[in-house]
Amino acid sequence: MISNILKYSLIVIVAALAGYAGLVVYGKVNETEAARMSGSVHLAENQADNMNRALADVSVFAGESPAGNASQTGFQSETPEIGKITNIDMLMALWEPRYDNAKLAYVKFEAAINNAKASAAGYFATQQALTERINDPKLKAQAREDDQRDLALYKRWEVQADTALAMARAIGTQLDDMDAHLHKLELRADFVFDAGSFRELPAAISELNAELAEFRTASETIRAVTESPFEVQ
Amino acid sequence: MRERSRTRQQGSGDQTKNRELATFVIRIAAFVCTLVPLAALALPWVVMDGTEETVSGVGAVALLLPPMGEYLYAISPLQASIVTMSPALVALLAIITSHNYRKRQSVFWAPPAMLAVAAVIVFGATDLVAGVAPGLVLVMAVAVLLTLHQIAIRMQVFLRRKMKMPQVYRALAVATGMGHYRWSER
Repeated sequence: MISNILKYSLIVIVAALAGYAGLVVYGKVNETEAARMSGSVHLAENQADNMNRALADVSVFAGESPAGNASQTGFQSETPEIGKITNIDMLMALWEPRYDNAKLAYVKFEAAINNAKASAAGYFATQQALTERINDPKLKAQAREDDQRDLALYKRWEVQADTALAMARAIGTQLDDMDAHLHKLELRADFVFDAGSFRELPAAISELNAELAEFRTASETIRAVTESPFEVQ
Repeated sequence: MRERSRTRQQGSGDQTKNRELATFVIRIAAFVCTLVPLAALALPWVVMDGTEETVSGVGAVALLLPPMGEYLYAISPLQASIVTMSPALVALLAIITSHNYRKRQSVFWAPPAMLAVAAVIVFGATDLVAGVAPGLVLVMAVAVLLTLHQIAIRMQVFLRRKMKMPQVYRALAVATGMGHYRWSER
């Protein structure tokens, strides 16, 4: 009996969860085009803010480093201490998390803009279809005018978004170059090379060579005083 | 003399009754615990990066629908899969655990697996998830509890088989709800 009670309570909970899941999915599927587009635009704007912060964070390096140029990136240095770092490992430790963050922010921004564009296409298609359903010519003309105004507003947003994306791409290229430059520096720091190393013989060899004549003389002397059994024969 | 023996027997009987009742209550409590992750799926689960909205476990599965699904998969297919599929996996593991608990069977791998899935959402999808909400925290807490319960059951079974420390394995039988009671399955 207990087992049965537990069984039915499990079934009831699973059924309730399945019902709730169904409602959520139904709500998402039947979400209006306007709500979807509004959400997408909101997402793109949030990601633009995130990307601006990430780029400002990482552009400090591009402005301060020997290879960077602040005037091109458009960002002024906020942490002059970075410019004073002389150790490449310390510099890389500061650079890499910010660079990764900026790259991710760019990917998110681009995806958010594409998402907003896809939602906008759906929204305007639905809007146009609804306008076409209006029979009264006067009302229809008014609705078309409204649609055009909405579309113009959206197009302006889209142009701005594309401009921001292009700017982010340009900055991203400079950041990529900076990253390559820093990695080159890191590689060179690990490569120890002394061009003068083969000009001189190792000290032990040259010293022994200097004493070689004395060793030879000593060996001759020893040979002279030592009677060899072969020489006796 | 006979009176004293009867009193002692009565005392022992009361103790047995209490032990049986404790076993029964813990068994029911453990079963209820297995249902908590299922209920937690309807609670706030994670805060999504970008939208800054809190979605429930079921809502996270619904993110698979376009255009949000396309957006998430464009950023990171792996992390998008983790965020959107893991709640379904948690639900499945909760149902398996619950079903086994109902039949008084030990399912040692399911609670740790549930904990691992929850941990993967928290630590493995940081590009898409900005924060963790109470629903997921609850799942992790319950998964830890059930994992400890499974460890206790394994210990009890081991000690009983080896016939070692009888007092400990009898106590564990009560503490894990694995012992016997008269109202068992009838």
